[in-house]
Amino acid sequence: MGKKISIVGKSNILRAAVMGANDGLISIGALSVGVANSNMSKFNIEIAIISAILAGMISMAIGELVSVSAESNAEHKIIESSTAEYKNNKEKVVDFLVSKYMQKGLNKHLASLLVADLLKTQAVRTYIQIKYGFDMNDTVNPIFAAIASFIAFPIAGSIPLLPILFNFGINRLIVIFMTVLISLIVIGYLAAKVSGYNTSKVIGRNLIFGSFSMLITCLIGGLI
Amino acid sequence: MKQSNTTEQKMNSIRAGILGANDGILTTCGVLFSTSIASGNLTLIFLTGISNLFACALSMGSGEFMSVSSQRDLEQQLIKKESNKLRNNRKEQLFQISKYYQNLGVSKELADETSKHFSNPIQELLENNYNIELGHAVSPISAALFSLIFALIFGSLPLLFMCISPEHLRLPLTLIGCLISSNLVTYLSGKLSNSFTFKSLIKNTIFVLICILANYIFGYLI
Repeated sequence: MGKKISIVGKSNILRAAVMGANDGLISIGALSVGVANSNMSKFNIEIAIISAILAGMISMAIGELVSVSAESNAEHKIIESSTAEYKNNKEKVVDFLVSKYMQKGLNKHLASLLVADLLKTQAVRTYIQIKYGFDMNDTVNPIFAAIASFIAFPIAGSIPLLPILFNFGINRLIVIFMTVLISLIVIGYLAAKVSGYNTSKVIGRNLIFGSFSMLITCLIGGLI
Repeated sequence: MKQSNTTEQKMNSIRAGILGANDGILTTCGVLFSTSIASGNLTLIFLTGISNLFACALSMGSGEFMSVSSQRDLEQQLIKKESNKLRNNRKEQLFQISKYYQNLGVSKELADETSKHFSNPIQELLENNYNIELGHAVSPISAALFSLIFALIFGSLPLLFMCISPEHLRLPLTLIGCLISSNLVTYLSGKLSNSFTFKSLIKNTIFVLICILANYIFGYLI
């Protein structure tokens, strides 16, 4: 668990914001195309989109809060159980670490010396670091990530609403498609920069998934 | 963390599925409530609910694919970079490994001696510096599919409850559908990660109620 987030751990908040924005764009974009392709009135379409933005924003923030707090719960559980384990059964901890280093190619003598040294200062912290891959003095803070996606989702989600609010005279489906695709390029670029990902791949995937999602909901909206 | 590859992959896919399910339930239910309050037009409510369910599932699935595959790209990039850099420079390799152990409190002589004995020094460096374990990739497609399908299945429950309920009981029954579906997901995820407690069900119920209440209030404001 700590394993996956640790690379981007520092930019956790930024990442939550960009992910929230991307999610807002794709899900609200798809919904907008779906309802815009039905025979609802303009007023009802607006209500549908605004409701979806609000619901998405709330669910996004709560989802983020739940998942990050589950992660920090899990980390605290590990810290608690490892502390107890070290206190009550020091030999087991030592054995675990020694055999781990023997697997990595050290001989028994050297591994024992190394483990003894590792456990000399801050024993539990080192044990957790090696066994679970996270630093117990640097655990996750759920609130800021949740706030970031709570703000980013509706901002990005209102982009597909604009072509409906301001009638541009052209077919609104096409305008929504184009607006969303252009925004997906921008957000894909930001996402790649924030996380160090490959820019063209992220943008490409974003475009493919965005248009796929919009096409499907467009069909559903047309069917009903 | 000493799980086999496949178990860890499965766990990651299920984790993606649970995230998707939660989002599917909360947005569907939220939209059903705010449109019911704002308009009361059944076609509008139903159409928005179903479009939103698909939009949400698709967006969760693609978001999951994006983040897992980009993460994998990044890891592979780092692995390639570090391997290239260090394959030809054993001295630097040993120095970095030794420094890592010295920072953890190991004496310099012992850290230097230890660093020479790792059978795969590049892997050791990747683990120490980036927490990357070689050969532990998650499949982006399975994560995306789990997320998409779980969101559709669990998100459709509140919608189903709304469709079959008589008119005067529509909102309360939708709320019940939402609570059942959402607590089922909490129960499953707790069982899977061996951390299930009744407290988590209560916490989840409160979260859902806050979510619905917020949508209810927004519905009035529209």
